[in-house]
Amino acid sequence: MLLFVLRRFYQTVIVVIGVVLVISLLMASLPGDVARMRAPKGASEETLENIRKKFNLDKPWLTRLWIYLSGLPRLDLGDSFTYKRPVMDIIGESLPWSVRLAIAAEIIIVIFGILAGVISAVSRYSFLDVLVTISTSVLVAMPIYWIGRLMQLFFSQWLHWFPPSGAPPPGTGFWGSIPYYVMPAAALAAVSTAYVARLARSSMLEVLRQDYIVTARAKGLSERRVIYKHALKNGLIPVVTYLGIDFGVLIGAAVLTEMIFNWPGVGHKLYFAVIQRDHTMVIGLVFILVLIFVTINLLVDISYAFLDPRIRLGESPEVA
Amino acid sequence: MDGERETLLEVRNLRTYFHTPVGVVKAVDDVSFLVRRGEALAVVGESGCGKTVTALSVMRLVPDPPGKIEGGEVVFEGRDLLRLSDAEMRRVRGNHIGMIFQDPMTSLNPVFRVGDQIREAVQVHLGLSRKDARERAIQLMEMAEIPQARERYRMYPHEFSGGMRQRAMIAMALSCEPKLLIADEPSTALDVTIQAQIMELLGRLRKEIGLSVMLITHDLGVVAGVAETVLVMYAGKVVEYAGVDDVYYRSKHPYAWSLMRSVPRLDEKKERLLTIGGSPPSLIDLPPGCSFSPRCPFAQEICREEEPPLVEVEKGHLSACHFAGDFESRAAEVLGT
Amino acid sequence: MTDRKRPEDYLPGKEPPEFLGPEVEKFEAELEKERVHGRTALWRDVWYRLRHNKMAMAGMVIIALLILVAIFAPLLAPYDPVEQVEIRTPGGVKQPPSAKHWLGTDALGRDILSRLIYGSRISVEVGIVAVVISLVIGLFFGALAGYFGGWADSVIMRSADVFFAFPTVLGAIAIMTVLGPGLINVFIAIGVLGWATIARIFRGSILSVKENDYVEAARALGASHSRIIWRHIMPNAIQPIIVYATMSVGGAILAEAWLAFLGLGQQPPTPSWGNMLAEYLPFYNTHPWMMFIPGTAIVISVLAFILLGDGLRDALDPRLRGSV
Repeated sequence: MLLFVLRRFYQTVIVVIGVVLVISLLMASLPGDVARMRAPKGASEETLENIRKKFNLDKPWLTRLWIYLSGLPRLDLGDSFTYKRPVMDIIGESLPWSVRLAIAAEIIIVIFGILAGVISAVSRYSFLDVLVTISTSVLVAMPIYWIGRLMQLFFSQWLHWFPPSGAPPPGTGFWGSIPYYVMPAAALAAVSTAYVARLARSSMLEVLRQDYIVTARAKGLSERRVIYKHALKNGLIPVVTYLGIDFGVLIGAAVLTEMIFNWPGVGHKLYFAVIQRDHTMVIGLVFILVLIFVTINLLVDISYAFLDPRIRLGESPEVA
Repeated sequence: MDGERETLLEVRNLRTYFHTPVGVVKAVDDVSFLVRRGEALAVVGESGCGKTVTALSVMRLVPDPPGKIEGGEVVFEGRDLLRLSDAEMRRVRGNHIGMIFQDPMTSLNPVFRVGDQIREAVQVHLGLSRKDARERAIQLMEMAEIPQARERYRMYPHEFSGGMRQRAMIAMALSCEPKLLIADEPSTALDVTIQAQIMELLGRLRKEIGLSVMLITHDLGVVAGVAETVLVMYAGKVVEYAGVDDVYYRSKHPYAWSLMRSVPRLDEKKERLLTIGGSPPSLIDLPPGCSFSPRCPFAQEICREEEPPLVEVEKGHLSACHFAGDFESRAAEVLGT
Repeated sequence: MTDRKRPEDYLPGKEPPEFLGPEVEKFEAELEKERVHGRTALWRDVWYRLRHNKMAMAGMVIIALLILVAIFAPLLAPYDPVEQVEIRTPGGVKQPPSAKHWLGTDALGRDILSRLIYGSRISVEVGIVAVVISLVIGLFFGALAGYFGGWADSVIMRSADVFFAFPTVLGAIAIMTVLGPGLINVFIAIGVLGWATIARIFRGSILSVKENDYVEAARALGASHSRIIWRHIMPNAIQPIIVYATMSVGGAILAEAWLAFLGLGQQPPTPSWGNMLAEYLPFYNTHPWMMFIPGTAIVISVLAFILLGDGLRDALDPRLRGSV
């Protein structure tokens, strides 16, 4: 077990180094006429020069690389052009909002996704199974941001159940905030829930075909016990593994959903940074989000070791 | 065969068919046999002859769909198992009839401790407390000759060797003191030396606790050591049913007869071994008449037209062959003895 | 009766017959036929199972239609997709579907149906080109890593790990920030991001196939590296890739959609389903029907690839092969 943890940790370190290099490379490779795009129309050559100086665009490529790299340990990711403030500050303000939304979404994913998948597998070919299979297939095929808009159309515009957008205003309190969370979290979770349901379903179907399930039945155990004790624990293993990767999907979805719902998180900021070509902001945000993603993956992998005793006790798992 | 022991399990005219997109597979077609208290019955045949499905049918573990028990009776201790409700059948499984399977690695749940898996049946069927059940499980592991049972209780299946896993399966199957143990190719997946140990363990348990065993195998050597009675199956049907000596030395069916002559034996001097060419027929597309006729060295016209009925040729010796009656003389003719 | 072996032939002193029974010659002929046609029989088997999967077939039909529409767009579209036909007509913009414009007009008076038809071209292009790029890079490195192992494997897999650290959306954004917007860059971004998963899958299946006995046998017979790879490892290892690649096409079409949303994809006025959807989103409460048009087209197309992918996965499943 220790070996496993150490190995994953070492892997993560290497990946982080790689990410840092890539990010810095990207930063240093920004096209030269960035200055021209920033400046107001018809700006004088002097203004352009000033802008270039400020963003170090006049320096050679390697120097820019070095400048960016050296800023990283202090978490100095440069200044956002749009907001004229350090990128890190802006991230600090908006990250908590995204985290809250992500937690809400994750709850939806885990509960509904696993439930739907397991029930679907157990009652194979029944109406419920067909319903789940069809709806998950359709959800997976939909553009994420469109799901958000559709929800706004149905649930806000037509049914008036939830506020169409915006974060809960300050002082709303826990219960009052919930209506604000529902749609954004659901939109964020939608595709991932569908994925998890599909995965849980196929994993359970696979497990239910195994010999040890026949043994469990031969022992005279009730069908409920066979499924929810013997099959489930095995069936969830691939799902848990996937949940780590899914977080990356969630981050991507956040970029698209937060804008639709005007949710003041990092995704929202990233969206506008891209639209407004605020490169420093874009690269800085991508960097931080990637780091978070990598860390979450590491944690998930380690916790997965607790689920599967074969990892815990030293037998190596299948080829990754 | 001891005719005085009481009958524990009687299977009459069992038929189990599989309904597939390409046709109906008659996996078990009109099979009848019985097992007495303390008796060891071996069910022998090639892969696909229906022996495993027969065992699964007794336990009602046939996957449905696509399989279905179409007819017959499985009378265990006076009750027809096929007529029981699901709940009642569950009380029989693992409790009155135990079953062990071919591959112990895949038959044990990899994410649970071995001891806990053995304990489970005891808790469910006998209602013991967790602590008592645990003690009993350790006892069972010791009975199955698993060394250091107390420590190994907490281990996972992948930490056990193949032989030990099979012993754990045996402990699990016997945990509620069933009267019948069905063993489906219990030693096939193991090394030869371990095979012998497992077989020896089963034999010992039979004597010690009066266990009846229904052993399914394709290995004739294993059969000779353990079985009292042999049921030979081919293409879903019973072709011969007799005491072990009768089948080995005085077989009255060409299939079993050829099988015996294809195995090297120390007690008879033979210069060459016989082979049975070809392969078993598809169970969807059975040949007309006797299923074995395409491969039978003695086949005549009648064999290809009429299916031979299973008849008692001698006391306690059944065979499904048109020529079963004067089989010995024909065989002697052929061998020139 | 004449060519059948007689029981008398078993008498000691005579050559024992190889086989008993007359049907055996028939069996042997069958076996020989199977061996010769073994490999083609495999694919025929797969095709048979695929054909009987209704969902997969539905998917294939939709994909075929999609490709046809993309190819014959100029013939099918009633209007020029870029021309602002109705911009001067009173009430001409954002017209709901009518006899003149089957799917209505957009905010600049352009015929939506024509735009939709031409937009299919972008979707097809993105789907194919991006996936092909990923395949070329991924298969190459995956094969190197899987077959040769050692430090090549480590280096390649570590690099793949770095790519995995970037969720697709973030990675695409980062790359296109440097490259700038535009369709070609979309191809590059998505294609380059996708190589890692393909390489990993391919490497994995090569590793498991490599251990098989028939590879050992080929090597013992002196087969060269490339022969082993091509004739023995490839046909088996490629199967999970086929499934994944099919699903990826759907993923690429979706990627075009969200890149358009971020303003990074095909730039207007050339229509793509992605940029159409992004364009119509602000009208969701005033003219809700608009966004359903490109949205539904995207969903149906992606769904088709998912269904086909699922069907291929079931058809290729080795456990089902050759079984009843």
